[in-house]
Amino acid sequence: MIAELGSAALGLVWGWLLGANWTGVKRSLVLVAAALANAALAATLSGVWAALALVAATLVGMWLHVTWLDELRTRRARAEGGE
Amino acid sequence: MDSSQAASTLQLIGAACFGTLIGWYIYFINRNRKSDVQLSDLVTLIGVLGGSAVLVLFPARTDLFGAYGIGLAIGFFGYFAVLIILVNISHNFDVDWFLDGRRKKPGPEYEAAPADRPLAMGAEGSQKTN
Repeated sequence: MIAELGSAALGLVWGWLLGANWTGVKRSLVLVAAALANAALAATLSGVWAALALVAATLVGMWLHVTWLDELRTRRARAEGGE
Repeated sequence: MDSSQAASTLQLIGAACFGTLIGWYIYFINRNRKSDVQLSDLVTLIGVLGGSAVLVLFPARTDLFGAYGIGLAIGFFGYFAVLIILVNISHNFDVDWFLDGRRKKPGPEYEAAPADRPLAMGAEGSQKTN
């Protein structure tokens, strides 16, 4: 259980980093490849379920980052529109 | 340690604390990197996050890798949480700083630190999302 939980936590960090550095094809590919390598590492150390948890949490982490930025942009637009 | 052996509580705590330090540092690196994402920055992040040291330190089939991951997320998002708290209580920053680094200009009696000084982002501030 700790293994899957830890892999999911690691995936959240990867997802957040991917979201924050999604600025170009080459760099994005490097990061995605690194995240997949980390998933392979999780599979080696803790099993397939841990790797799957990492991949799923990476997607959730990306979604969280995008949602967070969208929320900030919405608030800014609302504040600037209200002035 | 034999791969089938369970990790002790002390080992788990140690792995989690190690992960917390790494996570905190990763957020720091990501936040204070140059405005353009350099491949060297990414290589640093990748090496720290899942480098060969992890394979050496944590034997397979133990919970140590899991404890490391939990600690890493605590350190990473803990830094982020502290940042949000500090921005919220500061009169010189608001949430827009997270989008483009904007902040109030220092008054005449203040001077901004030079950009190349460690732990300071200079008057121009970070151009990337924080």
